This record gives sequence, structure tokens and C-alpha cells, in this order.
Amino acid sequence: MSHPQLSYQQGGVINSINLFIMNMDSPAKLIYGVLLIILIVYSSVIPAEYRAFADSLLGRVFGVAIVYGVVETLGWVYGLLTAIAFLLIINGASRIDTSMLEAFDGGGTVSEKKTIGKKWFVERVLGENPTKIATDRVTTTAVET
Amino acid sequence: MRTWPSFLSFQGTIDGVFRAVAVILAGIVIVHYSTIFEEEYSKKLTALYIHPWWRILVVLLVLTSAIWCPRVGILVALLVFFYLSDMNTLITPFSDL
Repeated sequence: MSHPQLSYQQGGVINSINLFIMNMDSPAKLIYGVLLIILIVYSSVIPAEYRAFADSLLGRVFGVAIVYGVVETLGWVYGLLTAIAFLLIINGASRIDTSMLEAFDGGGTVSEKKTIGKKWFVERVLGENPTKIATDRVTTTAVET
Repeated sequence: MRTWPSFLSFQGTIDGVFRAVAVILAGIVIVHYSTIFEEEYSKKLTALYIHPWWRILVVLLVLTSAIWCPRVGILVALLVFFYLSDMNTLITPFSDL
């Protein structure tokens, strides 16, 4: 009595997975893609110094050159992700040099004082770093009805 | 007979119709939400932004869209860029803007 030969089914999910693996990019490209995704996802925590450099003339020229190079070497999909990452980094750069910006200006009539001690609650919430204050005294008057 | 340029043409198949619909939907969302900063996103989109896994999914949406169709991918990339940019601006302290 002869037994029928066992045969394995071709196609289906196994074939699709094999096709997917065969068409995958090289590991170097995949690693670069993963790094790009992480860069985009956590773009909000990039330090301001790097953002300021990316927003400078040199940084922008470098950025455009990098995007162009990635498109030419790795393909336009990677170039698209690189462009998004670059734009998000530039977009978060501060437009005003707040280190030299001071809201209070004594103007000669008010005696300026240096900030000493703890910050006010509103300063901590808004992330403000005042360097000088106009006065530490408040004059109030009674409200008359 | 005037025809579309090759990079703008869609095939008359079901896939081509879906691509055209995706392009139109992405265009509408970009015009309605992305081009106007004051136009607020839905509360769910705003609340989900703080979760990294959500942002990863959003970036993967760009990736899959680009692999599926270049036209859809470019528009979705524009859409995602505006979304991430707007949300990032909203959570940035006012003094750091």
C-alpha cells in the first residue's frame, strides 16, 4: 500500500512574508529610517542650541544638502522623512534672542534690582528667566465705593 | 484630447479611485486645519499628541502612504508636519517662542 506523498501548501501568508522580507531595504537603510522616526517623534526635546544652528544660514544649507543627498542615495521616501525631521527642528528654533530681551527697562526713573532668590509661580510655569526687576515694592490704595 | 501629466494621473481601477479620494481628503484637511494656526484640532488629536506611540503611528502613516502612492505620501507628510509643528508650538512655553 502506497502512502500519498506529503505536500506543503505554497502561497498564503508564508509567501507574503517571504516576499516582504525579500523586498525589504538594506539594514543600513532601515536603521537610518528608525533613527529618523525617533528624531521626528522626539523633535520637541531637541536642545535649543542645535535648533538655533539648524536655523542659521550654514545649518539651512547643510540641511538642504543632507535632504538632497538622502534623496539621491537612499530614495525619496527616506528623503521625505529627512525633510520632515529637518523642518521640525527648524520650526522649533526660537525666533527672538530672549537672552538679551528684558521686559522691564528702568529708564532712569526706576531703580533696577537684580533678581535674587526663588522664582515666582508664574515665572516657573511660563519658563521665564527675568534678569532684572523694576521694583520689589507695590503701592496700593484703598478701593472707595 | 487633453490629458493629465503622468505624475498626476490616476488609473481607473479601484486602487486609483482610493488614491484620488485619499488625495482629496488630505487636501481638504490641509486647507481646513493645517493652513490656519487658530483652527483648533479635535480634543482627541490634542490629547494623543503627548503619547510617543501615537507620534510613531503618525510617522508610520507617512511612511505607508508614501510607499502606497507618492502623491498621497507627499500630502500626508505635509499634513503630519503641520500637525506635529502646531502641537509642538502649543506645548512650548510662551517665553521660549
